[in-house]
Amino acid sequence: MTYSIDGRTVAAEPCPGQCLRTFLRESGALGVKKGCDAGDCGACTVWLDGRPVHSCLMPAFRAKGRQVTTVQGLASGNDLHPVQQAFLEAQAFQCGFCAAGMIMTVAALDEDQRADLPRALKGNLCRCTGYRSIADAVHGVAAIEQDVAGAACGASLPNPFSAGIVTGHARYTMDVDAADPALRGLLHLKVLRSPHAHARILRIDTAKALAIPGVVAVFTHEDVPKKLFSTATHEDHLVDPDDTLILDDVARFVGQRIAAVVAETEGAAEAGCRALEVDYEILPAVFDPVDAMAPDAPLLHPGNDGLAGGARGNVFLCLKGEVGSVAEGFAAAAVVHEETYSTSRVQHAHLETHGSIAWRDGEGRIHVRTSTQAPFITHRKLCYLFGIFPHDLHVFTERVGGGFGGKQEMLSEDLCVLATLKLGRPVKWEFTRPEEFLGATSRHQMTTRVKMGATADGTLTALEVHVVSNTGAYGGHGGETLAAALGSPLAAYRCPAKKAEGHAVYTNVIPGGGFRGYGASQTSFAIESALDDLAAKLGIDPFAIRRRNMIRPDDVIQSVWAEPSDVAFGSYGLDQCLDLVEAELASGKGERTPEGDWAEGTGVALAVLEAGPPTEHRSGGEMRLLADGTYHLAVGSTEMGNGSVTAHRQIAAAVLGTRAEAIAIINADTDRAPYDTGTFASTGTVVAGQAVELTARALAAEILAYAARRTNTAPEDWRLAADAVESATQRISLAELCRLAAAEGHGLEAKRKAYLSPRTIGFNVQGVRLAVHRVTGEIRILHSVHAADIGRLINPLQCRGQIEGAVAMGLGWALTEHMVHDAQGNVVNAALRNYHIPAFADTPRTTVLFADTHDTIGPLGAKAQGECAINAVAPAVANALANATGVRFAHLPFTPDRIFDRLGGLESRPL
Amino acid sequence: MLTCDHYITARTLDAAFDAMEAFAGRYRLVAGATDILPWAREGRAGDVHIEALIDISKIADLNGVVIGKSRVRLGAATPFQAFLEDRALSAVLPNMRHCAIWFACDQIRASATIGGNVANASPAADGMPALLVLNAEVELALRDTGGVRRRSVPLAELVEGPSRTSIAPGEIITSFECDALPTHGGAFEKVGHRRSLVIAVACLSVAVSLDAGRKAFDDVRIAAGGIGPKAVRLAHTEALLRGAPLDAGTIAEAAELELDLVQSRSRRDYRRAVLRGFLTRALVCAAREAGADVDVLEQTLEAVDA
Repeated sequence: MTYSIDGRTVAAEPCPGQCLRTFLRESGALGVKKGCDAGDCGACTVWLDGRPVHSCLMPAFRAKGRQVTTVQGLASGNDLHPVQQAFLEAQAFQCGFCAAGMIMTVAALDEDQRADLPRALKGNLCRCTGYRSIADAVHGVAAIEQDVAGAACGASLPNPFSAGIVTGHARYTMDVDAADPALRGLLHLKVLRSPHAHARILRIDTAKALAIPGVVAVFTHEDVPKKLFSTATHEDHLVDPDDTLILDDVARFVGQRIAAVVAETEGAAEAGCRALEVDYEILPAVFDPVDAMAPDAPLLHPGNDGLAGGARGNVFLCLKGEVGSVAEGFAAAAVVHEETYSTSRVQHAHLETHGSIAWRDGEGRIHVRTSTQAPFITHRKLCYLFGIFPHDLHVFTERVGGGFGGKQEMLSEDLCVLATLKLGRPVKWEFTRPEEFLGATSRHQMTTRVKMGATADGTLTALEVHVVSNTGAYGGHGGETLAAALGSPLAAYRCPAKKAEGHAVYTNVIPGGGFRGYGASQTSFAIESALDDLAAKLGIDPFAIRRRNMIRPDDVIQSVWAEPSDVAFGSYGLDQCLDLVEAELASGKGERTPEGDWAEGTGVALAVLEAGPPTEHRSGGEMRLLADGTYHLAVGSTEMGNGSVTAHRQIAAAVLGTRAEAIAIINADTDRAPYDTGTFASTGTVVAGQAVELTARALAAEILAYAARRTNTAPEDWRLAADAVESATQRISLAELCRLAAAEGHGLEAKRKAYLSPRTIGFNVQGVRLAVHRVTGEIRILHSVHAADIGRLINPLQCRGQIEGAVAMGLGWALTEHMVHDAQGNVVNAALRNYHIPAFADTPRTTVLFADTHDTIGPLGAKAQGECAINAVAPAVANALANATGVRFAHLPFTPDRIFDRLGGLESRPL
Repeated sequence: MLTCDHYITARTLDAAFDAMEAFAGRYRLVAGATDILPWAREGRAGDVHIEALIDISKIADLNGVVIGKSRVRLGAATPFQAFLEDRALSAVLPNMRHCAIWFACDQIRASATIGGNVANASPAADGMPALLVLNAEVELALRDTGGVRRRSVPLAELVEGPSRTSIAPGEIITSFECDALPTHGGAFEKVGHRRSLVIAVACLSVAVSLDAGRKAFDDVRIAAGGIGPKAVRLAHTEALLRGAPLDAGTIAEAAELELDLVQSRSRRDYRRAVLRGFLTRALVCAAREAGADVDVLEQTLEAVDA
């Protein structure tokens, strides 16, 4: 008997322990994805005799003699399967990594199942969309619009790579063809991770590992350049501490990489890791940041003393500031509220794990194909670490399966390059899902004490915040997230006196990193919760107290530092956002409270986002008119589901008066695109998009100038149409113009750079109506409403999708997600089965509304939007929960047992 | 990660026993095989090398469903999806359909078998309370010098505790014999930290039949999982409810009766509260499905909601 895959007969025999997923991928079905390898996420779903199964759970032998259908075999001929077409028309994906499995599940549903998607889609997770567009696809909602020349900006156009995503032919980082000559002799890298939270490595015996057949090399701390660096990627590398070595002789958290084994197969590499013998000297460990600040606490990075900001011991950074006098402000207050709030450590859980592939070409250049949000900074760091001349290194992405800040980090590339340099062969390293929880990064856990004073009418007189941020074992993003934590959430309110102090503290847990919302999320949770508590004491409505104190266009945008800042109002729509949410919540839409012992409550919270980071951020664009009259666009920024390639094409098309389809785009490639700092801090539109706009404008001017020169007329006589330049009397097609220019040895092209300053400001308001079960503590979101002021919508469908995804992620943070460490510092829930990101059933359909504004700073009137929506979600849930129960839940997440613990003492009726 | 040298698909019991003999002490049986790969990958068992995986899901003895007058025979390799798709089966095992709705997801239900769910003996296994409600008897087969010998043992006795059963080395679960309950209504309740694909903190299966007037309980069967080392029947509660009127007072009394069965040390108060709530809701749901007098039911619901 043989194997039948998408109608092909495959003669290969799987290995006995092999799962169907790896067998299918080895047989060329690269559309089948790995998200978890545990049957939790569904990205690997294929059909076995027409029935969906998780191919990661299925021993490959079970497919013998049966029909296997993957997403690549679903279409017949050139026609998409109706479900693929529906996913395309509803744009039911963002990064697209889940789509291959999601489509296979949906395509097998009958009518009854389609009517009950929370049940039918239990086996497929999506981290990007918040599931609304997926539901739309199932129900045949076509959301995409026509691509009309000159009208690209503001149209809901599809992702240019949609067809590849829905057919499984889009290539993600690990989707490489085994026969690719560049990858001949591909080796596999695996790492041994520390079992101890804090330990010195005394000895690593590699002999047994090296004796395993297939093991080629073992690398330890003795084999790496002795150069300290930070895995965090920022334009200014000085904002992150250089506290990390590629491989260190001290382990500072459970999961830190100890040694790398490179082998002919993944199995041999794993066996090699098992065979390593390591002697450790166990060192005392500290997990709580307050404990870590004590004078006698074990030190993670001795020698840290004397750094900036009064940092010493385990305190990596101390930030403080005050404007006005909070002492006077509290003295003048009629009511003072003080409370400590805390947030949990959570993981990005992008469905594509970290990973990269490095190889050396015939000329000796090194190429790195990786899943990153910042290929250019990664390029720079690798050059620094290995002493590579920049020209000799090429870093690029294919499709990236989600980032959310988790890939603003160099976590895999360094070891692959090290191994390639040492061995001369291609090397691949793909994280497993548990490794994401053990050895990637997480959102900084922060504990925030808030003190607020107000007059009897609710006018704030003083606002004081103390933040302790647990940056974990390494300090990447520790300083910038702390600065963000003391920034926009305080700037959101006008108040004569504000004070803040924050400590970023090293502990022996997994490092913190960048994560959507970036420090501001944590303080937003605290301040927005505290403001409701203050309002309750004063008997003032939550909307009213926000309107009374919120920042207005004539205010100085100021947190706790008096120095000038480059943040400015490019537009203002916070007032509209509050009005929109209040009206929608009052409309009575959404679900009704279930029957039984449920309490209902509503809550609101707001958030303010500075578009782009306070650190430097740059981007560039290159455009060229092509011989067929269409355009080539190169931009350095990464597309990871944020929709930037779609938006960038639309910006260019709008400026050039053409259709988005006439713009071919390449991105995130250090050889083929101009420099870009990275796609993080919500810069995809406001920085890279601005670079695209400037480049397109320059190219348009160049084209008109050339037409004028050729015809001895003035550039002002000409206008650029979709496929030609036109004057009152003449028309030259763009293809002809390109030919004319080429004949003269002249290329019609342009290159421009963009830099982010001033930074505009965006606004988000989340409203929630929920029901909480008085006995089980279960929470059901009955109505979720989000209003955003993000300026002009370049692609309304994508804008809505980004917000829906951010709200879903915020609900996960509020309700279920929590990385739990045991007393030894082990993560106990390093799997999606125990670390619960929202599934379809957990995610309400959010009503997304937009303020009507047009920004004067951002490109074509648009503002940043990737992150900020998440910041208002958890506090809105907390406020609704307080409204429902009369009890303030100040610590995330709000799991049923925690709610039970607080409500158990209250009067409770039987169900 | 899992490695093995042989994957053997047995078509007959004898073929399975042959393989088990050939690889004595070096094999593992798989049926749905939905747990073994993540079990090996997640490091719950470290890295695993098993010389032979013996697939028993294709053995005829382990497949097929026979619906008799009073008993139903379920092959041990029956996947959970069958309880949702086979209408004749769900008609006689009403509580299994509710259990299957909660059980994992479509993809896993298509493969995961009742035999595997029982053999793994997780304290939170969804299938356990549901099969206990059906008074399931487990048939096991063993081959020794005298040939294949079969024995039957009540499910309640087979599972001894977390991951512990009285399945002897070399024994294969072949089938389950369950009570046919064509006139009963069923219910299943489960709570975890999200609404789908969760491992139960506590779960409850109920089957209920009513008297001729549809205003009182006739037969009542209740089993709970996730509250102690193994799933258990709530015998005292069942006795209290048998023949009792279908009203709020009775249900409230019943819901309190056996909360001391909650043994799990973690979050004990929470599990007790959950169990109380589940019992109330499950009894009402099952009674509704059993055809309870609508007026009686509504009065009951109003009373318990008040």
